[in-house]
Amino acid sequence: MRNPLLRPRALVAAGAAAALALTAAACGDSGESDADITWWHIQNQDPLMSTWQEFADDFGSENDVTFDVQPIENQAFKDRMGTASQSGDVPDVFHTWGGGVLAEQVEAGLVQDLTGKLDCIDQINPIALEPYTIDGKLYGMPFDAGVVGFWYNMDLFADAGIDAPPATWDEFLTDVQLLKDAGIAPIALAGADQWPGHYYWTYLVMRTVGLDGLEAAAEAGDFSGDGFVQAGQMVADLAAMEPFQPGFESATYGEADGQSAVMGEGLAAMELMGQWAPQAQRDNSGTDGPANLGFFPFPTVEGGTGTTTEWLGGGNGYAVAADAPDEAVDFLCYLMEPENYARAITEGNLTPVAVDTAAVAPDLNADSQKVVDALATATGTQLYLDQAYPPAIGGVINEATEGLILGQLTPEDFVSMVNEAWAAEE
Amino acid sequence: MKVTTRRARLLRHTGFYIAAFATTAFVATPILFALLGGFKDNQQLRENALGLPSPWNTGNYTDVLASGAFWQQVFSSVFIALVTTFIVVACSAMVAFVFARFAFRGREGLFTLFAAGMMFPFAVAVLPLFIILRSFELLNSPFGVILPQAAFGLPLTIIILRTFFRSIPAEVEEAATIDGAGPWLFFSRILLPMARPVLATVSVLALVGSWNSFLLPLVVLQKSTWWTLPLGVTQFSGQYASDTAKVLAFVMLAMLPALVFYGFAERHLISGLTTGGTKG
Amino acid sequence: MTTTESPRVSPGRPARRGGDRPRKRAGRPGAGTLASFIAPGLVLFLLFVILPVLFAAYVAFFRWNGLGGVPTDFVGLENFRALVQDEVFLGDLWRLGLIVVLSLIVQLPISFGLAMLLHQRFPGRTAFRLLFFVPYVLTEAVTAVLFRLVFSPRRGFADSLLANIGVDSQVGWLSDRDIVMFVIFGILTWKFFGFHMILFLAGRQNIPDELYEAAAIDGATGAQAFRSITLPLMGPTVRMIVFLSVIGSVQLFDLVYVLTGGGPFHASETLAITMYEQGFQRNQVGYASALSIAMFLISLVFALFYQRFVLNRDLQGSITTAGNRS
Repeated sequence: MRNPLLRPRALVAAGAAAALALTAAACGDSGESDADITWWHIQNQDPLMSTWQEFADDFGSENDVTFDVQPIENQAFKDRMGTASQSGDVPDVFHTWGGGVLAEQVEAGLVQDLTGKLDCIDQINPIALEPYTIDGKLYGMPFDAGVVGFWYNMDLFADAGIDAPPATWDEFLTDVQLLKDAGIAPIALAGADQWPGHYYWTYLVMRTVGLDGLEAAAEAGDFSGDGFVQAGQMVADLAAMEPFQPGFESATYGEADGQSAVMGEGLAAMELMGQWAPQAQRDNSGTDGPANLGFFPFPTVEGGTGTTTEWLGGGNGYAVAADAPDEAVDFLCYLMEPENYARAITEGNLTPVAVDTAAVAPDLNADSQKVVDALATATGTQLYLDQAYPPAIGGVINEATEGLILGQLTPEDFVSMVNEAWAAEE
Repeated sequence: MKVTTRRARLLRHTGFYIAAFATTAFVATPILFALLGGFKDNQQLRENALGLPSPWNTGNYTDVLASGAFWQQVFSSVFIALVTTFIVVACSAMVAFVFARFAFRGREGLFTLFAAGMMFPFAVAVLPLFIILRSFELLNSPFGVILPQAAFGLPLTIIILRTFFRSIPAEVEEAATIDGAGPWLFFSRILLPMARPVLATVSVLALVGSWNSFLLPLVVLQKSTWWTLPLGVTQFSGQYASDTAKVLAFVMLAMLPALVFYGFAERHLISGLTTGGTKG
Repeated sequence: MTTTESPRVSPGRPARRGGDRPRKRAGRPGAGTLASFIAPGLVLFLLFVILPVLFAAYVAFFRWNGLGGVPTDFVGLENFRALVQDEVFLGDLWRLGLIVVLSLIVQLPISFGLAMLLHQRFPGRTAFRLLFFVPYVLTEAVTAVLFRLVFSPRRGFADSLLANIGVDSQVGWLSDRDIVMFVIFGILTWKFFGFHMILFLAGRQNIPDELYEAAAIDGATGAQAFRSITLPLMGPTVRMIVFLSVIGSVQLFDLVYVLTGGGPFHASETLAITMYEQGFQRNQVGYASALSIAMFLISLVFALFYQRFVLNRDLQGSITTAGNRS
């Protein structure tokens, strides 16, 4: 009987503690967060993480509301949003890329219709609103928009004897080989996250069948055309050259040895990524990033109908839960107040969505400027497929691309998986 | 004892120690990596992964300890574990009491039903549980975790307690009945006090089960208000993915409560697991 | 027993609890009293164990995205048909088999050997026993975060360690599809060998020393005693551990999910991870339910089969024997 757990007092105390705790929980908390506004965002790196927190604090004290701000890593955010949507209880303000994922959340009645509720809507470039507009109604507010392209380390390219970025897929493959021969990992890729890989397949499809061809296929739910199989084969052929950094199969985008850190430390020559890439390279590697970072559009494919002015892209935005307080909507416009937005753009190196970019960001940094220029000359854009399509299909495309890259699926397997997913969705 | 020469024994012992120390290295290395890594900064982790930290950098640990999130998660884990334990032990003791000491129609069928619960892998139920909890509006509530955990803890606890309650001689009960004690009184005043050691054992099992639980809190607790430590650690490691040293510090601190508890309740834990494991 | 005196109940005192009315003196308590004892546990059990399993069995026959409402799109056995053609599911089964086989031929013998070792008397054995059990008390999810850093490419601790002894490791611990399962198995061994060792040790300590003394008198060597006493008498423990190990492997989730998420491309996926991905990430709730039911059937069939043919001799308190005892 020496053991304290055996003494009656200990048992009674444990029981009492449990009972006390029970009452405390029953009275104090119905399971909802105590805060008035819960905000899930994916700016989980400073400086923007702190800036967002500050905005929430300031808005909170001005309007007498409390915030529960949760910065969540991108992949974890997608997982948690999936479960939260299933639970029928989404955060008051949450990150969104728009598209089919948002549409499914709207259909489940989880998202507030923002049409006519945002006073700041005039400041935003209408084109940037498109991904968030479903059946003519606005369900989200973008704060950044841009394109996906190759960010490349110009010094490493020079070391491999490459003096100009490739314009065609064949040139691209040649350059990959040159980099390999020079002992440089040509491409950084986060294999475990899947979504970075799906950019390759999407772009190759856009270059072979063109934007129109892709849209037609999505309309029909049929990806069986030759161009799609060909694009899959090209992904497989690229992967067969082993162009990715060692261990890419289990790498994630943001971790210490992940895709963007590898780029930031100058351990790989290029990555296919969106407008946030330069900032992420610095954040995740804890360095200043490559001294000379260049940007080039995804190359064209010989015989394909796509052009380099057709971009894969999209932005980052926020949606508001159906049952969120009005302050949550006001908060979105608070972010867009010129002073705040200008600060976010500078600190987070965002690519602005303002109608008048020069007004909010008079001296945009060079990297963002490249993206802005690309958008300005774009003849067409396609939202990331894993967001544009319903989650079940986007998930299959991501997964199947990983299978292609790892040599576990053939291009034909890929096409039939995607087609089956479309068929199941109907 | 057989006659063994000094030399042979020395040899045998040397063999034991070699095996034991090899296993010790296997067990301890990853934990030491976390412990020491938490005292390094990322630069040191990169350049001096194996050596001792120099200088010793306490910032990672103090940062974690100073964050409200860590303590909130410790509180949630403790709270959920205590309430789960209380519910599962209380409910099981009452059920086991009836199974052990009264005969009635359908008893064996009922007992088999409970015992069959041991066959249900928890993962099987998590999806429908999620939907059921959603309709009870128990998502994002600690009770969404507590009640299912307690329910899944019932079978083993009932089996262990029933075995013990049976071993109490009938004379004890007869004496109590003559004194006028009804079943409630007998149960609460005589049986439970006698069962203290075995109650401690099943309590420790329930505590540990709840403390380690991951899948259920993962799907039930979307909002961070009630996050438990396992959820907190995985979330933290995603959020600070590039800050390895800080993640190691968090991992180490998250392991600490379990290690301390093990230090104190080692005997009960092991006796619980061996009863649960061999009689289960 | 140190309780000196059972708490006395004086007949004059009023009944303490509301549910405990004058029926007191009766030798057999009424059905109401018994029900009040069983009710809380039974309600909890029916609501959170039985109902979910039945619900999963129902939903498995529908196509349903789970977003509110009730399932309406009845598809019969379609989900199960898709399941048995799903290469991921079949791969999960294959990997389950791999883990089980490796456990049986590697992990359990190691645990057994260490238990025999720690059964010997030598200075410090208690400390070793305490230490070897430590990994088991650590949370799986937390362990996985730690091991992800140990095995991270390039800068991970494992690679640094190897580099230090002059091996330039090109091993993709978690990224090579061909070895990721073995790395996971290594971590599982790290985590669980102490638990199995403790069970073996308990089994070994239950064997009376007299048997060995008698054998020694009869002139048996240590090896002979081991073969004819230790092994047969450890049988029940071994069979129990095999059972626990298999049932545990079926539900493997936390460790692998946090460590690899099941990747690269399903190379380390388990049944529970596939179920989670389909149910919670892809909103294929009907399909995921079918998978849940498959997991349930696998456990059940194994358990019944195992008890019928392997355990029936030595298991007490188990399902098949529970009903028959007394």
